[in-house]
Amino acid sequence: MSKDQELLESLASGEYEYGFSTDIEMEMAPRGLNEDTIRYISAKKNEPEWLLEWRLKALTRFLQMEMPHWQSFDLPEIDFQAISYFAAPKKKQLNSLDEVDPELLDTFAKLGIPLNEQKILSGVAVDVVFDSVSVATTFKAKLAEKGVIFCSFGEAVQNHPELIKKYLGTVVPAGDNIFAALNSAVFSDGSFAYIPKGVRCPMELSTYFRINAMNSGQFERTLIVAEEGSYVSYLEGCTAPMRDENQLHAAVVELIALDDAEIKYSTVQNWYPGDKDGKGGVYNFVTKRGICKGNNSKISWTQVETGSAITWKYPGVILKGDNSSGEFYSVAMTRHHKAADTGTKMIHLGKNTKSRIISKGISAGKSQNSYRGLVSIGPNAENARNFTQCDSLLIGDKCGAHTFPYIESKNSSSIVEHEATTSKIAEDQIFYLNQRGIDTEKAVALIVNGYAREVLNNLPMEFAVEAQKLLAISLDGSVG
Amino acid sequence: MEKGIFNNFYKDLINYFENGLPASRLTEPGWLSEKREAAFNLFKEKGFPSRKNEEWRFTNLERFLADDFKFRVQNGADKVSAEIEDFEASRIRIVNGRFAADLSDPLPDGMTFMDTSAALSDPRFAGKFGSIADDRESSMLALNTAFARDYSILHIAANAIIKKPLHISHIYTEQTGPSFIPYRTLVIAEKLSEATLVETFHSDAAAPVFVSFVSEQQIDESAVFHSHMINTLGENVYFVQHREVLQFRNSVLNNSNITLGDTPLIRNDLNFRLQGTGTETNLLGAYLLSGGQHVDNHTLVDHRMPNCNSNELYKGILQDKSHAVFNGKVFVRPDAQKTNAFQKNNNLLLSNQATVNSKPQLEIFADDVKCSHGSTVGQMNNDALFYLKARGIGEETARRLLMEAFVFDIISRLEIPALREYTAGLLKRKLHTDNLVIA
Repeated sequence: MSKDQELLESLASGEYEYGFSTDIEMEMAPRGLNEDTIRYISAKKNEPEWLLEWRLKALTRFLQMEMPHWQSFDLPEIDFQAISYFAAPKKKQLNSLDEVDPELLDTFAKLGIPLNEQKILSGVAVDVVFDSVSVATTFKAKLAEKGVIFCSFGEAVQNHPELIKKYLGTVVPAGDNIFAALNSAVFSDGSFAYIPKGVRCPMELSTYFRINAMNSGQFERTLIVAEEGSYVSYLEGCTAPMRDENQLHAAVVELIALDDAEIKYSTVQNWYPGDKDGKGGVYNFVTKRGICKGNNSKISWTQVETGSAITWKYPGVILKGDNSSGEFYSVAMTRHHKAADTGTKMIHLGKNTKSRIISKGISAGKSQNSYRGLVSIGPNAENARNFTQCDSLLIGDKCGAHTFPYIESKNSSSIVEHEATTSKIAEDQIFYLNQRGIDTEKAVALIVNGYAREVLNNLPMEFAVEAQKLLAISLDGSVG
Repeated sequence: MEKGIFNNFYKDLINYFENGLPASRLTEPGWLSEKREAAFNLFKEKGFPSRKNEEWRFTNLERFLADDFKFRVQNGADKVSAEIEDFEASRIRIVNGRFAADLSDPLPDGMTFMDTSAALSDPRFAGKFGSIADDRESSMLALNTAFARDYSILHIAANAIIKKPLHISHIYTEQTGPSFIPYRTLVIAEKLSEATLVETFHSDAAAPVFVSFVSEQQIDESAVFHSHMINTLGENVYFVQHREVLQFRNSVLNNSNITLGDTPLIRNDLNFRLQGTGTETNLLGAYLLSGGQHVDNHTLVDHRMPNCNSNELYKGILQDKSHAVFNGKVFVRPDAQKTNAFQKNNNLLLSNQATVNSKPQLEIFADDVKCSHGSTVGQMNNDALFYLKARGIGEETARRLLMEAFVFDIISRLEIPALREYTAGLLKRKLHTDNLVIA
């Protein structure tokens, strides 16, 4: 029994390994949010008039909106005026990785993801977002050959304004929710990917986000457009340095899949979760949504959420095209005083649309882990099909696991299935492994790994390693 | 925080309470007046719950409250058939919320039923009304506490094992205009007792009736209480019920909730608070909806103590333009280790104009638990349909048989044969299968 106790304690107290701060010269906007801030950001980024207008409209919406109160955790007061809405490393315009700030490279080396190595070994094109401005983009030439556009959002605004104008805000409108409105008003940079008709993107596109600079909330904006018959797999990973003040991260991700296109979006999130007593940590309030606009299109979200003080997001798919399909695979691990309120929205509009939701929650320590999801079948979604499974694993008696599924069906030929279970790790399973000479610590790790496998298996090869590593860190003390 | 509905009905009620105090209120005990006052203030502040309220998100009350509902005095005339054939039971009738002594049977030893004057004057139960359910939870509950006109108490003495079921028929009839009927009952099942209560709801109301019925129940240590509700209300009745059940150590509660009528609005809030260890709670529910019916079943099983089991199964069929809401919450408190809680909701959605909103919910704060829920929305099994058709049964007949079978899954679990027959008959009538000939 004491062994169990020790195990639980060590599990609940594993320290954040990636907590460090990098000193790079920053260019910052003054704190506060008003029209001037937005004009400042827009001018800094040399944006066209229409985009400034769009931002200002979003600001108006933002100012009209109230903070939501339906979430299952206590939302801390956020002083939007105390945040600096623009922070950029001063060095810019690098042509090769050699020119990248050695400190930045060092940071990535600490994270075990050196760019060079990754470039050579895995063939991943990495668009590094270090705070708000893209510093280096690799493999551009190779992608350009295929006609794939993969660049920072700022560049895209300059070079492909017609695409941005056509798709920006079409999936997540500026007034969707208060954080989306905030993002729309002040977004500083992000990534843009465009896959032309019939192209299968030759490599996994990847961005490593990293929050840096005191008090600079990150407001990323990602837009991915997959033209007819194209395929792209996009990876997003985050780690953040340790610090005491809370940081707000309110990103927006929009995915658009046209006829026969497929987008696979994978996230490994490990922002700083705050210390053992719940002090500090990142607020991860992200709006992610994809639309299967064309027939036979497919969007798949995979997420491994191990960090952040509060994770609050519902990556969703609007299944508009006939025969389109949406998938959501999620592992959310919470410990200490963390809270996760995450899930998905599957909105079936087209005929023969399919969706599949697999959510695995693991809560330890004094954390609260919630699944909140919506499956909506519209009256025209003939033969729509949904399957949802959400399981929760409880480790320790102070944590909580909650399930709030919303199921709405308006079509008589559709089938919706939902099931959820909540339990702790069964003692007979641990006993079984003990019997075979595996100590309790390893047994727990093994069981948790097996529990999350269904989701981890959906991560692309290049990412699976990192995901497993992060999950292992989250289970620190129990994994040998 | 959330916006309420403040319509004409609301204004009438406020006016009624503040200005026209009915004579009966002057004689009521002080504790009741105090509760009324407090509840009235709550209701006055909140109004009727609107769709902005998460608990009422899918039920738009405003639509049903448009009539000019008034407190009206009706005669207890009885033209409604409220009998269950071949059912050996003691009968009690509550007509328009009021106990009808002339239509009721004497009760067996150990079981007492009290009407308003007896219930309010009995010192044993002073202050008991309104102490089990908390008005702050819902403004509809506060509405009832503030305005309830009639009260009744069902008391089951300690150690009494009562074989003969009690059948209470709630009848809404003989309305001269749109009426508001708020009334309340209290059930106390003392320790080591066992009893069965069957409640049926009937109507032949000519004018719209808005019913607010609250039942507070206390199931003491090791008591066993079977409670069945069969709702066969007709087209003119809007029915809002709140049932708050407190269960103490080792008590067993079986509750079934069957809706087979034609009423346009039913809202049931069934809350079960497991206050002692080792309790068992079994909940069954069935609904068969047609036309524009709207049925909203909210259940809450609140596991407050360790070693409690709860089981819930709700099944429903939706036809035409009907709308069903299922919101089942299982709450496991930090101390409630070794909890087993299961919950299932199955729906057959048979029309493109019908809507199902299903929200099974688990909120768990303890780790050594086994909890699960499932929810499905689907159609007839085509294989089963084909099987029947291959045997010469027409499409329409086959479909009705399958629907019957779907609901029969619930009905067949009722332990009383006469009740099974009765509900099966209602089901057949509603499905129009009573005169189907299977060749």
